[in-house]
Amino acid sequence: MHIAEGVLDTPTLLAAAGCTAFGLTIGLRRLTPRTLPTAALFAAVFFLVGTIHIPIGVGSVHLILNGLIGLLLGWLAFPVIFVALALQALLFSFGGFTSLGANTLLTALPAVIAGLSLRPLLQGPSSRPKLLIVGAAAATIGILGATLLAAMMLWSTGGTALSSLISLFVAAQAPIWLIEAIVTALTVGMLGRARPTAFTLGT
Amino acid sequence: MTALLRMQEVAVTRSTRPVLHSATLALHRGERLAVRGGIGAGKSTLLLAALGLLEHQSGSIELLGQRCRGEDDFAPLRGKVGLLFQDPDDQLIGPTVLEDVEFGPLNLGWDAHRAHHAADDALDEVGLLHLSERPVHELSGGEKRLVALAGLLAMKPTVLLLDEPTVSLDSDTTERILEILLASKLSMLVATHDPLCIDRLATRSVLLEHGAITD
Amino acid sequence: MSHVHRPDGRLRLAATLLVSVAAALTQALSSLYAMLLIALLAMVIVVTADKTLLNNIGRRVLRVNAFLVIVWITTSVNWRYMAIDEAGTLLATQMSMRVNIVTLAASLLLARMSGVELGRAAVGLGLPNALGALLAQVARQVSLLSETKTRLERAMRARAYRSALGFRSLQVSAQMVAWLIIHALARSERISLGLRSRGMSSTRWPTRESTAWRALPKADWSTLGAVIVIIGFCLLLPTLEIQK
Repeated sequence: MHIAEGVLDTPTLLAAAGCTAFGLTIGLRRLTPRTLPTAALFAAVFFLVGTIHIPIGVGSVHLILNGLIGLLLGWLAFPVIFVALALQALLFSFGGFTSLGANTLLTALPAVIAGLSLRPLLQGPSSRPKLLIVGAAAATIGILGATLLAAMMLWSTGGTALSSLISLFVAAQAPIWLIEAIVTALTVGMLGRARPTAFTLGT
Repeated sequence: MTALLRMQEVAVTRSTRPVLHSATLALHRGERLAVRGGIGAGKSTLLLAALGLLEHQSGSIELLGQRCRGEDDFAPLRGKVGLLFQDPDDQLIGPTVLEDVEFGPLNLGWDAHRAHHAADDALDEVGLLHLSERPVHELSGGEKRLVALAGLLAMKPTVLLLDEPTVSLDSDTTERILEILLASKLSMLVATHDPLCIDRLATRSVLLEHGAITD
Repeated sequence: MSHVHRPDGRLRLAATLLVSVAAALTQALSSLYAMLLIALLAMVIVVTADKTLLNNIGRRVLRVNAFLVIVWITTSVNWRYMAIDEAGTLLATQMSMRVNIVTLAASLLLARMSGVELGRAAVGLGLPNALGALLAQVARQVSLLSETKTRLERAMRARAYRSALGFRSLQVSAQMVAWLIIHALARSERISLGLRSRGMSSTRWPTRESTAWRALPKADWSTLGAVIVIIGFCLLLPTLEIQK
């Protein structure tokens, strides 16, 4: 979910960049030379996840999985998502550099919220139904949070002039939310059985 | 006699490098054909091309009697032709052993019960039924190779394509793999430079050199 | 292979950011038109010198303009009254020009820059060392994991998997993601061991010193200077129009 470079106005970009800088400051406290390889690999995974396409009818959607990233990394999600988006901006012009703050905020903040609220539930053995529910909840927070933040940013920029675009954008997230909830739930289910320690990073 | 696999003057380029330029071979029912060749000769490329996982630029490939040109021709036949990759980490996708072995049967449209049963049988065949619930990443190299093989056997193939099936294995695991392959009675194309594998397994062998195959 | 000289990464990134900020700040259509025209001209010149860039730039431009079509449809027409919405049209026009200016500028100024170079450039412009080091590492890991993902997708196809609309695709996508994460975790453990065995510090970030600003060639500074002059001219255009 990227907002293209040049869409948001300056006050919105500055406010978002300020919030992102705050999130990065907290996230960077958990980034050390020792945790760097793990963080880098997760950023690479997040980057590559965006290249996994799910066919829906004549088109396809690409996965975001910010809720899952939040479950795995907590506050580390901020620097990890920041660099993954910077790389996407460089290589594909997905988003851009002045909108990097905004795109990081709308992706990482819901991720962190998902992580802070749901990670405690995964410390210790968890049943499969619990893993699936936590995964679906993480995706819900991730996608709904990102949608809400993106809508707020667009509204802040264009007000009623962009109301149709915002409505269309929000409506389009429904199938994406459903797909993300299912994929995240199944992924958490698999990780919970195969690698339960995956949910203790970044603490 | 219809060949299970027939490759005629097949040329394959990877990146900009021509790897195969005139590969011709035929695998008949009951045969275990070894393709010998040094490092970088193109043995893996040959197997990937045979299953349509790499595009061939010229020549013809017939799989199970059907001429195959593109993905739509190859895809329906992949259940019947199993490919064992040289590196099992490239092949294993399931979080646990059982889920990985079930992957292929589920892709064939088998229901969960039938897929589970097939996976159990295949794991039993390779002697790893006791590892069904083990996470794949906790397996040793030899165990991964056996699980990868089980994943193919569970699909009940007609032909096996094997890329260096005994490489990096200890002698016991090598012996075990060879016994399993012999007991399967499947026709197979084996890319290998292991003399023991050729000796024990192959009914015939050819040499892949400079992009072409010679007897 | 192109032999076009590429200025220092820090200056290229600074120029890109200046263009983005200038485009974001200006409301005047004349300024935006001028910037877009100059960006298009620059694209023609650069692509003529290095034809291999055409594909890449073309794809990016097409992608952003596909999004802009939706913006135009939703903002420039009041569908309730089936009439042109002037405010919406103005907004869509400004957005279209900004998006294209920035896409072209970034594509041209940052052409062939790697993630490692981006990290170094960003640190040189003030990004914390930790983020620069992370960016450089990510670029490397993306290329390695990407190869692994490609091989895995090939193996899935070898076991008769075909992506299609349905629950099975979602299951397999989840398996792929889980596998990537498990693989990443195992890999990061091995990398950590390797780094520690080579004396990696627990407090110092692995970064490379950039060339001193003073040692940069004049040609590099000229590029940044040219971008500043062009931006300045474009931003002043409305003033010149008023004076006329």
